[in-house]
Amino acid sequence: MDILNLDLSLLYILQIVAVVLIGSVIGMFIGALPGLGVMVALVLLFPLSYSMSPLLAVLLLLSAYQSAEYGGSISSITIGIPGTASAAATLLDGHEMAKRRSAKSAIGYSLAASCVGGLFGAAVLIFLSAPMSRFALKFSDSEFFLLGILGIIAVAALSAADTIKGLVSGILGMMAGTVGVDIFTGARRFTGGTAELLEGINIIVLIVGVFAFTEIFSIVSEHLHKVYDKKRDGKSDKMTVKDFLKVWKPTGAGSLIGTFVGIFPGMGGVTSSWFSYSAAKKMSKRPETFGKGNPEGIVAPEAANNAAVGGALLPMLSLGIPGSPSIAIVMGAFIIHGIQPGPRFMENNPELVFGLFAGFVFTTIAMYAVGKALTPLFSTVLKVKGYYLAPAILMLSILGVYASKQSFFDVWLAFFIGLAAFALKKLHYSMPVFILAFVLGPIIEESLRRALVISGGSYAIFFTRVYSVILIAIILAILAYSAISRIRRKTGTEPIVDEEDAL
Amino acid sequence: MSYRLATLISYVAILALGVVYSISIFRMKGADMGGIGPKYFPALLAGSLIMLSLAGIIRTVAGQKEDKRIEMPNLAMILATAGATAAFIWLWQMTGRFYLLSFLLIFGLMNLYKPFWKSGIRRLALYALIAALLLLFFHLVFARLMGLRL
Repeated sequence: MDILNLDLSLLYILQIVAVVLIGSVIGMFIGALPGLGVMVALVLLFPLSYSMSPLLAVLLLLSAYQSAEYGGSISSITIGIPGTASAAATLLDGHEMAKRRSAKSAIGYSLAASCVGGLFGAAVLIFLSAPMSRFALKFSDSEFFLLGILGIIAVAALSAADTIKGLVSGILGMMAGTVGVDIFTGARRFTGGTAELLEGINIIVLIVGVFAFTEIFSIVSEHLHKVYDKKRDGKSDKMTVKDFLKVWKPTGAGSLIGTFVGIFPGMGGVTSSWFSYSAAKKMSKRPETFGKGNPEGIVAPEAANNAAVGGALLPMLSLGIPGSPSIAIVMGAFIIHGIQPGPRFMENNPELVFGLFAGFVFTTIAMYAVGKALTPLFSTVLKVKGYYLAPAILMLSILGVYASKQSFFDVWLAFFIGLAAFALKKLHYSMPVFILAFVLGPIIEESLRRALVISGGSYAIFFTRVYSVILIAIILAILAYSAISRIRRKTGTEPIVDEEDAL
Repeated sequence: MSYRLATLISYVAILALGVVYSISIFRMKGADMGGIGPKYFPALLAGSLIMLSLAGIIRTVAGQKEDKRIEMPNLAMILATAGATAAFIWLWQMTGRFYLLSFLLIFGLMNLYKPFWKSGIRRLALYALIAALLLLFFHLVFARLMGLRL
């Protein structure tokens, strides 16, 4: 009988397909819900992985991770609230394109870039695991400090409308990052005696407050009776392959930056997405159109945050060091099955490693297929009028914050931060810089203090290593470029593009 | 309100925040780590914030005289939304009645933004239906799937 000749490996392949599709759907859905994010998706799926084989367990989590990173951009684009922290950069141009042109188009760019970034990260993972991890080890605290400063200055100098306000926003963000317990000494800082602030301010509170509540007030202020899903005269609302090929440069840059930045522990999708956004703006022939629906401002951060997944896997597989908290959960899936990632992982488990590499490519393709199937559903959100959308987003935001730690303190904090952010945004303070500075602040402080302890308090340590000097040169170049651009705009030698022509 | 005046007020408020932050730093207790302790980085930030705020104030006062107005359409609606939200959070915290209060908030806000009496009783039913469906969605996702106690 032919059935007795059934190749059982086919069943295993079908299991892999099923697991990856389930992870992709759940990851995308949870990633799209503001305030939940990648970690919630992974934590929810983690118990399911106990009874699976190591490969299936890891692929379930990786598919959810990839799809959640993309899913975060869906709410960024459709309702102006980042579903994940790393989708905040996508909001700047994604939501504007959705309002001015088409949500389908914006989501199309995001999905394609996420897929390209994910595949690039997978390729780097496969071919460059060992050498890339060794390079990352060469960076010391002085370089990590300068890398953090570079990130904030790059975004503040290139994106903020007003330099002083941009820098103030950055400092406010870093100040928010100092709240909690000092990691070196355990001293309480700026907690006001409250237990809720001992762990610092929850990033979900900040993101929901800064983006969600301000968007809600903005809808109430100006868009209650507007519908944004309108086609521009004679133009299709879909992104075509030709459209996407026009933005290959920022997509490539985002993929490269995302993979490289993702390797460094603590610097994952959030940092890489902002770095990429700034780089894309700098590379663009029309930087003044960023923030107004430029597709380059969508593809760069989206490629980066998915490429960062592959980057974060590199140190985990080759050194046993997770590149991000989310990858630490993935690593947990290996450890539960008695497998320890590290220097000997590849030589001791070659079949698992090859399965992981192939499966990781498949998770990216599955993310694209699932995303493509669900895009029409997502893009209908913008057909809903503001007076229906605002209360729904408000409740979703409140629940998103509450779901994180079931704390009313967090909900109140998000509300008041939202009110303050709405006012500051009207005065052109930079919320993106604020959020990035909040994320990078702890890394900057930790690296600075450790470097100074090593050097006995001398700042010369930042000028004695080649990598540090290169980073300082890059920082100065960005500041000089920004200053020259502003002088040119003031003297009128840099052309101002009409907003309607920008798209 | 004038943009220049609002900017000036914001810089003064941020300067005040920098001063309060500095006072908190001086009052902080903890190991010093040879001068590179828990106060070091916050002190750098406080100093930078105060200097930038002062620079901003000087630039605003002494800079270009041209000004513009900050437009805030529907300010009353914004304040009403903020007030309703605050009331909702406070009542939920006090009573624990999430579903009832959420229904009232969603239903009330939709009526605030587009009152049913301008469109007829069918709109009232539509608002009630939308509020109920939203609550069902939240219950399924947050209470059932995630196990959140609402």
